[in-house]
Amino acid sequence: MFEEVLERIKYYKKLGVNPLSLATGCAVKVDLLRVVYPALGELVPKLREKGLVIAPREDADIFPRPKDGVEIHRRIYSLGKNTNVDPKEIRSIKPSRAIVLVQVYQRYADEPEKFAELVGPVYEKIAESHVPIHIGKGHSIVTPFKEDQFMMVDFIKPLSSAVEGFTLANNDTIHIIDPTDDPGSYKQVSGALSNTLNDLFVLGAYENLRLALVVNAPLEELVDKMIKHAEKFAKEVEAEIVDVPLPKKGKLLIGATALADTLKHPPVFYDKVKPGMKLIATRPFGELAPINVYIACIIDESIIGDLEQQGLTIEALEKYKDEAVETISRPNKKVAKVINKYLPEYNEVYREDEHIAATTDVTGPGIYVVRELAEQTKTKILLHDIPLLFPEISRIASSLYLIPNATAGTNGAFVVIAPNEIVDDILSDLKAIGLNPVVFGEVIDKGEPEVIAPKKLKEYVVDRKILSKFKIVEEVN
Amino acid sequence: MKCTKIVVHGEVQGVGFRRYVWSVAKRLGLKGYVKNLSNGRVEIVVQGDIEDIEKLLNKIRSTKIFTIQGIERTLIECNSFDDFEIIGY
Repeated sequence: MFEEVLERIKYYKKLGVNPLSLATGCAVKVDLLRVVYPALGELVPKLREKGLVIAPREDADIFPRPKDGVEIHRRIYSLGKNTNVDPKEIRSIKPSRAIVLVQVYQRYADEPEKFAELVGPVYEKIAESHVPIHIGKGHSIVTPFKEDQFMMVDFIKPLSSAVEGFTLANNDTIHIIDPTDDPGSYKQVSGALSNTLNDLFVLGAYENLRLALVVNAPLEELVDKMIKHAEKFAKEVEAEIVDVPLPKKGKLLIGATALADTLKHPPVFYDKVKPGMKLIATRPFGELAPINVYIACIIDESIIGDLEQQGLTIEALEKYKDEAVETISRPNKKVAKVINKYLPEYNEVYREDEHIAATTDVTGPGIYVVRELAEQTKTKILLHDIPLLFPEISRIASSLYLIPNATAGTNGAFVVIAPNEIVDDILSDLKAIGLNPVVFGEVIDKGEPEVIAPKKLKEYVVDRKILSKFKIVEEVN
Repeated sequence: MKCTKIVVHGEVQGVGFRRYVWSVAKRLGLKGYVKNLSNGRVEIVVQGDIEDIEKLLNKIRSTKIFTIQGIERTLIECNSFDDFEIIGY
């Protein structure tokens, strides 16, 4: 019954991507904790001595905004000992920061030693320039093709020493958003670029948007189509497309290095989070559940029968899947404006009755991002609810073990921690832009991080490692 | 304790195959793990009723989505598992 989709899957394979691996959640990122950090562990202090700083993981690089702006100089380097980095050329650029995208062959992505052998020499050679450079954001992805490895460095050169406000930078890439749709559709591109911008939007930054595109495909006509869509998207979100070379290595890849400016202070007031503050979800999440269940049916058609036994027809599922794709293809710029409204000016102090204290976006880890927030803010959080877009599908997906965490999202909702005094105003601002926000928890204590969740979380998450990070209670008071 | 070790050859890495095995094994109530090997194959170590292990193997053999070129199966000594997990990235 999925002939058309199966044909499309064959086409995707020709483009170097197996869409089933993506939709079923197979990681395309190199594991940060198990591979990237151990690989860089010994190298980081040596590089620092030469002025090259690799910052700890952040969703976006935040730095003082040079009044005259910045220039982006993109370089594509080969990996390993024979890397083509030219330290002299870096000295001539005079960058102060950099954003990095690394693509490594999947068999080297699982071992820190092999990963270090590939990326270490590139960083060492950059450090030989002796230019103080702060790498504020790195993104490491996996390719099934050995010849497609590269490191893309977007050097950021400040155009003045005087600063005002902040610039935020992020890099993100995606292979595809909807594996059942044409790879050259507008939705795929808008979803991928929205996802890149999301890490800036969640921090309330939306002004002077710039996109340095990363668009790859083995067919020139597909690249052209994707670039045209990117231009249309840029117009829609009022972003400028920066003229940079494309990696031209690798198969299907869509994303960008994105920059935004703001005269407000981003909501990273983690130490200001205190008991009584509320957790708002800008909209319910869990949009990856219907996409994954639909793909599971393509892989194993017998699952359709299991779904029907639970009252879910394939037609209804397809409708929900399309709804989910539509949701994740939309940029969250209007939400960024709402967040921005409740932030202090860049040179102002944080006021605990007026300002949002912290935010995060709900991505692949789903509800687990709340646990990460508790750790970041050193607080105890009580969840009253798990607000999901498709709770019944998430429940069925978990009961049939089709996805380990059916609360997962992408280009997702934002979780906002805000003082009680401004919660109603934020809710009405979010409703005014057509969202369905919900207060789903509150901060109840400072100290040892803990998240107390209602027992229905077990209906939506079957990954025991994730569940073990929550204190699950029968009743939430 | 005895476990069944299954090594699968073919186009099985980077294609969502481990997630598929995890899903089937969990539905069958099997314990153990699935992981990628550095030679491009996938290793499954599984504990449970022999009938359920056969069902898992049949699901792997009958899939039209993944290209399976061969399956090796051996009995090995192993520790007791309390869940079925995907190991690695």
